[in-house]
Amino acid sequence: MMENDIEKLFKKALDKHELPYDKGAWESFEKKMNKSKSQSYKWWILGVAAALFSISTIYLFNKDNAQNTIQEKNNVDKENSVSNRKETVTTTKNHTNLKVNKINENLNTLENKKINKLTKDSGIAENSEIKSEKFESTSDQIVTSNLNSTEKDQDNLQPDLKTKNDNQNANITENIPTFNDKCKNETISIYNKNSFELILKTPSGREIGIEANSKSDINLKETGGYVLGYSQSNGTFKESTKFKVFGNPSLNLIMDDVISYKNGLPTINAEVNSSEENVIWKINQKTTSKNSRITEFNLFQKGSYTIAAVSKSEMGCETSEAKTIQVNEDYNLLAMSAFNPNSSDLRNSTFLPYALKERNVTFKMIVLDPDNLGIVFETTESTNPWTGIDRRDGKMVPAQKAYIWKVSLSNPEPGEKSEYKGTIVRVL
Amino acid sequence: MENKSHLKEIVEGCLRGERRSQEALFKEFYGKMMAVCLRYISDRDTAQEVLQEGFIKVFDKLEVFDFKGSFEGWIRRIIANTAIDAIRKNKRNPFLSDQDNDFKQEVVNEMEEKEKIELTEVKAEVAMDAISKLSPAYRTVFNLYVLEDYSHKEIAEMLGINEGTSKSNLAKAKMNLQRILNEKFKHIEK
Repeated sequence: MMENDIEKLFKKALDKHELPYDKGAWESFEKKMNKSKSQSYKWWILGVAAALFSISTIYLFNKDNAQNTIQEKNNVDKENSVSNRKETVTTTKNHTNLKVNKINENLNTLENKKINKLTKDSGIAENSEIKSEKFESTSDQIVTSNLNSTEKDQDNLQPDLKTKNDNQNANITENIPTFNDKCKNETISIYNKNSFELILKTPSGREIGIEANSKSDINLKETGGYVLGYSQSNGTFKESTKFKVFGNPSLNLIMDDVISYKNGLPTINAEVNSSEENVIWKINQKTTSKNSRITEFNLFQKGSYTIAAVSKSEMGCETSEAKTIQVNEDYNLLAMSAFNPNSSDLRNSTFLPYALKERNVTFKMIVLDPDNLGIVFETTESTNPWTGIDRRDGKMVPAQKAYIWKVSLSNPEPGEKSEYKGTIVRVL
Repeated sequence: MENKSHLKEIVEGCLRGERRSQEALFKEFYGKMMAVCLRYISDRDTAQEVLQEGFIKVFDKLEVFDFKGSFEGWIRRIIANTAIDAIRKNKRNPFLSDQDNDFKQEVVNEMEEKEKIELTEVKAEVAMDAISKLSPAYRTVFNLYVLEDYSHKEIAEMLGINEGTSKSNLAKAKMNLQRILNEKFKHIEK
């Protein structure tokens, strides 16, 4: 047997291998889960207690001599760590304090780790994804001219000693923003009000640093779980906030270029291909009541219409696409302006707005004499058009005289007016 | 087969903290994941404990699962990792380990090259039994590489060994499995 066959043999045997469910397994698991929850609750209480204790202790000890010493520590620290990274920077201050040295050592190890990590990552990072700005400049600006922007970011990685120390002891001075779940390609602004760097881990494991006291606009290009946190002094990552980024639905809008008169109505057909079942349709940014993938719009008035389809995923992420159509004339029931009672063409020999024959609508049409507004003709049936006879005297109206027609609809379409009017001329 | 929308419902229920959904998820994957655990830890009680720990992690981490990849694969990796942690932690536990350095290179068991038996299929139980006879070091690498599809690089990182050790442990695991199967089926043939 070849060696690879062993792999295949075992993979085949065990790939779908499943053991029967053990009775009582869930109940026993449930017990363990409850226990582990109550334990973590206990730890949480202990943690809070420890934190409170630490704060009060630190407060009492540091009250008097903190300010100056810390400032000095910071200066020395920053210079020291920068000089470790870049030989172009020279250290100008000596380490006068043993304690400071000790802390330096720890921080430098941490810094170096971080820098390695970041340098590794920066190769992959897309620059356009992140826009950072500092909203509070630090007192020391030891930045050499040959540092590029990524490296500049790293210069500000140096955590503020005091806060970081407090963090290690108490875990409560951190000020980490929280985020709701987002959609892909959204941009979030992360305000890092801490004096240490925050790290945003993307679903693919990339790390984006948000330097101390700065704001970063980050475009969320990946879907999945993002974690925001920071590096602790022992080099481990402390998760603080999590949020998810969901993908946007796919959407492709197909729409008529010109209006058609289906059933006598001015119609635009539109259809979307979308990964989601429901679509929101908007006309000129107003949401319509339509929500199916294939739909049509009746555009009654002259003008420009922007029709947009919006697809929303279960998670609330949207994709939209819009197209604009120009309607060149007001809809007027497709009425002709002239008719000829002597024509052999039935469509020409009588008058009734064409749309009334096509549409399933109840209406009343009257034809008026413009001279005295007397009613020449009246109908409510699409099968009973005006033949040109004046009902007042039973005679054919004179040619080349414009008569007024008015139609009122009792059940107009949504968005349609109920009254139409125009003129009609009998020709010879 | 993973029914995605069915699963999604269960997962969403779990995220809302619904016990019924948690139970459904647990029962849905119990059998498969128990099989995974037993590949790493042959003692059933310990495997059961590891499985429970693994499921607690699954419920904790559920909110970061994004439904992009296979959910089963995701759970499987968590369970496998939990099992490895357990082996590492219980190094001195005789049920778990026969070596001091679990994942370090072991002395090669010389294999008898003769009398190889051609097999085209083995039953899951036979495969499980053979795997359980491997030392934890060989067994773990074999499981991760062959059944969990990890690369040698990933395995090396997970176990804190170097890539070369991972490769050679895999080779030795396969040689040992071959030998175990040979012995098993030699009797049957005779």
